[in-house]
Parts: sequence; structure tokens; C-alpha cells
Amino acid sequence: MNEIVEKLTICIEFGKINQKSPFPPSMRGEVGADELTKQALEAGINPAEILEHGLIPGMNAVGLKFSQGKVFVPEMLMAAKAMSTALVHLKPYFQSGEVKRKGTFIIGTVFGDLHDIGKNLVAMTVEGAGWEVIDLGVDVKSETFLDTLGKYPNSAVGISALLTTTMANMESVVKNLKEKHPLTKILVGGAPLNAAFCNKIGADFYSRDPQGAVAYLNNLQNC
Amino acid sequence: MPTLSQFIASGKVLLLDGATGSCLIAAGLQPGYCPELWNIEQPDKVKNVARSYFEAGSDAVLTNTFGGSLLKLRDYGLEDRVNELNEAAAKLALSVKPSGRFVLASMGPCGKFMEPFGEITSDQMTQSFAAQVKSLAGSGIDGFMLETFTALDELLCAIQAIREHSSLPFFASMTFEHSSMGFNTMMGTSLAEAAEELSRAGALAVGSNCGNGLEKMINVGKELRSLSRDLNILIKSNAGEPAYTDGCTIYPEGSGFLETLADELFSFRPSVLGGCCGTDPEYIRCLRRLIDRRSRVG
Repeated sequence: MNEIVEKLTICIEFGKINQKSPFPPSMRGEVGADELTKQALEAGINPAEILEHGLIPGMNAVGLKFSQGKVFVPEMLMAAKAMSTALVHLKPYFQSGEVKRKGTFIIGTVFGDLHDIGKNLVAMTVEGAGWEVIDLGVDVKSETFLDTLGKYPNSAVGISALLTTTMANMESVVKNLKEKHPLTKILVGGAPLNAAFCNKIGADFYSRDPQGAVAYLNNLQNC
Repeated sequence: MPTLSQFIASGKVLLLDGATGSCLIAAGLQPGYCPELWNIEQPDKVKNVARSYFEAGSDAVLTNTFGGSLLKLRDYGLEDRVNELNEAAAKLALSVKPSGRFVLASMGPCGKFMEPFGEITSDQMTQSFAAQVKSLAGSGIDGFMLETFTALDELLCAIQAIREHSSLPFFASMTFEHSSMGFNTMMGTSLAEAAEELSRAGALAVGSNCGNGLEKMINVGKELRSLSRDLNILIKSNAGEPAYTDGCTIYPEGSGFLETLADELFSFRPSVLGGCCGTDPEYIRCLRRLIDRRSRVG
């Protein structure tokens, strides 16, 4: 394995964005995901290899620690930011088709709910796992999900809610999406949710953490 | 009449109120609408919630200002109404306060991260809370209730704002999740860090609200007690984990459940009790009975 790619994995796992970033304190002053991705491309390393062997294993590692309760939201956020920084350099290769994404994932917080921390974490983690993510933001109505699904018909959809008072709104969104797109897989998540609620409203999968969502999506792609 | 600090120092358990948001929603507030706007638009409904908790036996009721910081109100485009919305909330709660009881100003997190994890600087965060504190401090309230925080740095900014603009006492409460690594907030603050930092910052009581039902909250209380003999511990539990049936969200922990856990609940010598999501005046009435029974026995 190439040394730059290996270092890149470590930068993603520990959330080292670039040389300037003070986080994590133990890597202060060292180069980060930004510089290393550039270096890797300049060294002629295949962009697909940078993604698959550099970036994705780093996100997997931090996602696993997060789901085990060993690291917390700040570590996940910083890893996701390092990942996003690296992905900027890979964007031209996605656009040219040289590097393929695993699929498209549409995500938003349900209408009536303005909370976005959990939704953002899932969006960034799924993007970091090699998916194209279309983030519709907060307070997203059924029509917006439907319009977007019309443009990207083979996508999976993720819906988030933080409040017990807004999770009820997910039911109508799931119903509207399933009516028009019965085969579309719908993932739900948020603090007050559980698998029983997911079944009750007719969604396909509940995950309590971003890593669970990634595992489910990757599995769909392999089906 | 004792002050809030004297009440706590007396060793009695201070009973707070139960959920506010769900009561307002039951009264017609639409999810996604700014709850603090109701302090102006539906003052009677906000007042009724406060009155119902005083009638249920709350020693202290919270103002409808959980999201009244500048940064949080900015989400609704209401950042230039910080004073108006907070002042109105304090007036409403104070107008139904029986003599000898207390009104505490609720302050919650703004939903944004501080540097380096997010964009908000420490100064911006402190100023956001300072705007809220300044509009509440002189209103006649008895103290502040900082609640549902998960980021210690943000909570310390709120405390700094209170200490710079008021001499009133404050409680500091965070939301913890349980995992194989014990109780931590989603931002990674442990119970031990919370107890130490928040006591040092001058909180009259330290504890936890939201996120858990009563059994886990009792464990939080016990762990806090094992960390410190003198800490004034605050616990404001949810009424269990919500279940969803036929379009309604139902919380399982009612007064019967509370009765079964009464001994455990007092085993860690709590100073402040109350209810969070899913709790109502009936829940508070039950806590009132348990506290009164306890004080007759003990």
C-alpha cells in the first residue's frame, strides 16, 4: 500500500483536515487530508484507489468507534470535514465518470423540524462511504423529496427527526414516497426513533448511528 | 420567604415543572413554529401551562424561553426580538406565581457547534446568551435553568453570560446517553467532567435532563453522588422512551411507575427534581406526593 494513501486514512480517521487545523492536538502542524489528497493525485495514484483505500477505510474506522461509543460527535464531525476536504480534489474525477459513486442518497430533516446535527452527520458519513449525497436541508416536505426522487429515481432516501412531536410527520412523507416509488428504500433516524416506529410507518430501515445507515446502503448496492 | 439558594441549602427537594413544549403543542402550537413567539401571540396559553404546574405543586416553574438565545431565534429570523420575547415570557410566568414559589428562566443550547467543530466562536456564543440573560435578569425571576446542553464549551459560555450580567443563581443540566463507556453527552462530556466543571463554574445544582427515562436517570443521580458528597444534584427525567401508536406519541412512565421507583429516586439525595419530555401536570403531582411523603418520613 502506498504510504501517502495510508497516511490519508489516518488523517480521515482522526479528523486532520489540513496543516493549519489545530485538530487533533496530537497532529498539530502535520499535513492533513487536504495536502495528502493533492500529493496522492500529483504522484499519479488512481483517484479510485485514493477513495477506496485512503478515504473510505478512514471513515469506516471512525464510524465504527462512534457506533461503539468510543468517540463522540466532535470526532465524527472532524473526520467528515477531513473527508469533504479530500473529496473536493476528487470531484472532477466523479464528474468525468472516472471514479464511480456507489449510488445516490437523498437526505433531509422532516417538515416541521429544524434540527440538522444528526442529519448532517449521516449525510457526511454516507458521502464519506463513497455515495453521492443530495442534502435537502431541514423542514423538508414530501413534495421536495418527491421532486428530487423524480430527478434521481434510483436513489435511497433518508429522513431525520429530533423531536417526538415531529417524528409523527415522517409517516405521511413515507406514505407519499412509497405510493409513487414503492421500490425506493427509505431509511429513518433520530433520537426518539426506534425500529418499531420505522416498521409502523412503513419505512425500510432504522439505524441509531450513521455507520448502520452506511452498512445498510452498501448492502443494497451489493444486492 | 427563602431565596432559591436558601431553599436548596435547607436540604429540601425543589420540585420543578414538567414538559412545556408538548403542552403548548397540545394547545395548538404547530411543530416547526417558534415556541417563544407564543409569549406574544398566545400569552394565555403559555400562562395556562405555567399555572397548571404551579397548581400541580411545582416549587419552581420555567419560563417559555428554552430557545430564546440570539443564535437560536436567528433560525426563525427573530434575532431582533430577543428582548421582547424573553421579557414577555418572564412576565407571563411571574403573573401566575403564587407567593413563596419561584420562576426560573429556561435557557437551552443554540443547535450550532463552536470552533473547531463548527463555525461559532466563543465570543459569539457568549454574546448570544448574554442578549437573552440581559432581557431576563431584571424581570423579577429567581434564577436560571440551563438545560439540555450536550457541549460543555457552549454551556460554559452560557454560564459566563449569566455571571457577567446577573447575580442570580443558576442550575446547569446536560443530556447524557448511556453506552458501554458509561454516561456521556453526545459531544463526549462525561458525568465526572460535568460535575467538576459545572460546580467550579458556580452552578447551584448540577445534573441531567432529557434523553432518558427514570431508571437510567436514577443511575445518573447515583453516579453523580458517588463523584461528590456535597453536589446539589438535579434530575429531570423523560417519561420513558416514546412509543408511537396510531399517529400519537405515548410515553410509558406514568405515576404508578414513579411510585415503584420512589426509594431509588431519593437514594442519591437529589436537591432538584422535575420532568422533561412526555411529563405533564399529573406526573408533577405524583412527584409532589412522593417528595411530601418523603419529607414527612425523613
